Amino acid sequence: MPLIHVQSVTKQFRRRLRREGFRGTFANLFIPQYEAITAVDQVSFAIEAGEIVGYIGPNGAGKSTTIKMLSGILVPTSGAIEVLGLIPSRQRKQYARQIGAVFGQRTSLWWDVPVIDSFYLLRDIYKVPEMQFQRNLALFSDLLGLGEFIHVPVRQLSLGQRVLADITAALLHDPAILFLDEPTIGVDVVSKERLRSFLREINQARQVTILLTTHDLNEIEKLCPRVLIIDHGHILYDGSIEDIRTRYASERLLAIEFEDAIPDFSLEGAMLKRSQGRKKWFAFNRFETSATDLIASINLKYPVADLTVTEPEIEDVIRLIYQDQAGRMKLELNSFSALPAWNARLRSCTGRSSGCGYSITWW
Amino acid sequence: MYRQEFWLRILNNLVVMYGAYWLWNTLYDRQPQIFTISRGQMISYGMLAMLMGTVFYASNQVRYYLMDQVRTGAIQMDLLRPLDLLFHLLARNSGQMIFSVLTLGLPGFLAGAMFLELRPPSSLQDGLLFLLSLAPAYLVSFALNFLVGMIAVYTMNIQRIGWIYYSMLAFFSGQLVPLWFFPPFLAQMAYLLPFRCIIGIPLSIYIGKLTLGETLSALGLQALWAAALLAACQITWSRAHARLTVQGG
Amino acid sequence: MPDSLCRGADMDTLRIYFKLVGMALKSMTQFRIDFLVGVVGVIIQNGVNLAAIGVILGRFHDLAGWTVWEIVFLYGIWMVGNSLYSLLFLHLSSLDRYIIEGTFDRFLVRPLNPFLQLLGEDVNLNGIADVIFGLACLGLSITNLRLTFNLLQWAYMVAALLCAALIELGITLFFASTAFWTGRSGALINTVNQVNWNMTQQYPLEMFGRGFRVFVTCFIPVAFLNYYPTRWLLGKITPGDPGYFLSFLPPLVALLLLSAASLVWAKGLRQYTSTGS
Repeated sequence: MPLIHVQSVTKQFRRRLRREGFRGTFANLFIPQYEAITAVDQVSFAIEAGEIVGYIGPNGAGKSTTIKMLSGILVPTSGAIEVLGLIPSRQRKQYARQIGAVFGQRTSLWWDVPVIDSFYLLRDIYKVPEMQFQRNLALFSDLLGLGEFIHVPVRQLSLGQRVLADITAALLHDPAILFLDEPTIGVDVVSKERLRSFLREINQARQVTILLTTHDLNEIEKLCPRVLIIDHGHILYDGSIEDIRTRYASERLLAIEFEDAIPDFSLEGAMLKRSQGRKKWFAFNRFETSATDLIASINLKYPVADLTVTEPEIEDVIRLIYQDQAGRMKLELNSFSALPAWNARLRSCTGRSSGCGYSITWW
Repeated sequence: MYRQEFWLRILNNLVVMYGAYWLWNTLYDRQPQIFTISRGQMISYGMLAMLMGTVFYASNQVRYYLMDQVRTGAIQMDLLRPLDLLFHLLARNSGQMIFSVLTLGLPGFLAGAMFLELRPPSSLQDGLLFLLSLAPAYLVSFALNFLVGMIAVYTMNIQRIGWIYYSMLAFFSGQLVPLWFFPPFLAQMAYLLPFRCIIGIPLSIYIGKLTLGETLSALGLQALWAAALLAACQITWSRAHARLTVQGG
Repeated sequence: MPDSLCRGADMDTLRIYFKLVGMALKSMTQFRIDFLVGVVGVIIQNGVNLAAIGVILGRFHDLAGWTVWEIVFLYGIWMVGNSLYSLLFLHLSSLDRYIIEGTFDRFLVRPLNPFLQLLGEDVNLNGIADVIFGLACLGLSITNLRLTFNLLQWAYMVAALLCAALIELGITLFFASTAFWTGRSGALINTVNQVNWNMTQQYPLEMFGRGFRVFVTCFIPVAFLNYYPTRWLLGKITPGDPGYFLSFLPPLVALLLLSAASLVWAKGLRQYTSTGS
């Protein structure tokens, strides 16, 4: 029985159209006009207890709307949401006790007051037994290094510290589920790492189910075994990052710097994408061609000075997924050029002897 | 969504004008000789004072805008452009004021004239001069709102300051009580303050209480106040800008 | 008290309310400046109001049968009721701001009635200065009118003052809840209050025509804030007169307004969760 069950959920907003100009303002007063916006469209997914799921999508994709519906702030226009056997928006108070929510853009703590005071008040609001509270507080302080700033008013904290405090606040009452809406925007690297290991820890130790929306794909890769990609209100993908790589990112780019400048040549199993001076770039499908074989066969013919094998950034792949809304698609070798960042990288690898990096990555 | 607010304001305007109508009627009946003007003039004054108050409410937008910017911190962006903001606000607010006049002022005036014995100006000349006096009246109102908003920039957003301004305005502009009723001490204060440029002077012109000479000098005074206050706005704004750049944002 | 506002209300809730208010107080970092401005504000605002009254009464020795000190009493009653309201409930008119800034969403994620959280979000200490001023007005006018109230009358006055605060709460909440639909509430309330200020707070209703009296009794019932109670307390109306019963309606009016307001609130909340952005 999944912990979180979202079934064909649609969310529509009715937004009033503001017309511009003098005549428009008059029109607004007497004849209001509305437009319907579908933020979320027939979205379905299920999350089991103890999962860590990433929820990614471009701005305006419907991420925040989904999280708001899951936390009980918004009611779906149609469809059903059931979490922990409850309907979030109907049994709000009972539900709120069992979830924790952290919204990156704003804090859930009291702004002008020391962090610890907010914790005490939340303890009262959530009716956390004293023993449990102290235990959690000690543990989280330890893991997150709260001691440094726990007596400081929230307004004086750095963004990273504030997020750590917010996470603590969200977990003091031992919720079963933690919703995180863009928690690490603008946060420093150290705090991000602390946060990540903390989330992993509580997920394993306490089986807290985590749903995390973010733009940071690095974070998704490091933390979330499973990913939901949403755009324009539709779920485009539901599966693991590994799967994405396998399915959509099977290309590799081999950049070779030769000892001498040589004319262009063709290669079996690879396609020459670019050539400049002593360097050539080849694209190949990693399931069809082995990198080692390729390099070996090249080296036989022409001595190689240095080389790099790079794969597409997960960002680019996902952007491609956004762009192709028809659903499943397989990247052809030719469609390499569809990845704009890839091309940019190609372009930037010009004229500089240090080029695109000399690290050799082998698979 | 200004719609509900708009209709409510129209209703409110009528109620307040109606209240003023009765207030001054009752007072006039009691002791007509105290008033140095006719009943019709007095009632017109009272109602128009309320009407003008409602119409000039639009210039509060300037103050709200500045206070909002301070609160959200967006004031930093405005501070990077020293002069633009003043003109920008003035232009935008003028539009809002015109809108207010057309949608609140005119209907209110007509309603008053039709149902509440609101008299037209005592002569065509007075009427025209009255309309003329509305321009500096508005500029004074705009400038004062700007300056009050600037207080928020300097000292943090405090709602109370707006209320203080409003109370002083309502009293010293002659909206609550005509200025010539004031005892000497208060009258002196009122004559030194700019508030009467907004309501007191225009209405005195309207009901024909002033001779031509007095009217012209009153208009001159209004213009002076308007110029002085606008200059003050510019100065405070530049100061704030300088302060920002010195502190390094 | 109406249901949706009081859902889950009990002693525990009251404790939480006080704790929330405690947090709000702790958050007042600008205390000294606020206090100073508050005192100055009280002096200027009330000074101006009383000056207006003074100017009028200086010329007319009484207004519709009300003498100077009776008017001051009328004003004092209004003042105390209003300042109690502004002490505890003033921030409700900023509901639009709370919604836009996301503070309200925060309320919805916590296991507490959002109305309770809204109440506990802020406290306006300046109201205390206003209360003091209002009490001073009452004290002075009672002395100057050489009034002595018996126990019943004192009880009535206290009740009337409390009702006044609740009536203003009802009116404010009623209009503030429109923020759920329109996203704006502050300006609306200012508009409504204009009738309140400058008119009924200091001028007895006898001076106004029937239409106005009906409006402030039946539509925006601000007449119950000070006029009807004052009329009764000053003995200006006797049991035989028509309209005598109005003197005892404040609690009922408060109840009706709060019920209406809570309905609008509940509806607005539903609306917000359905279409809030």
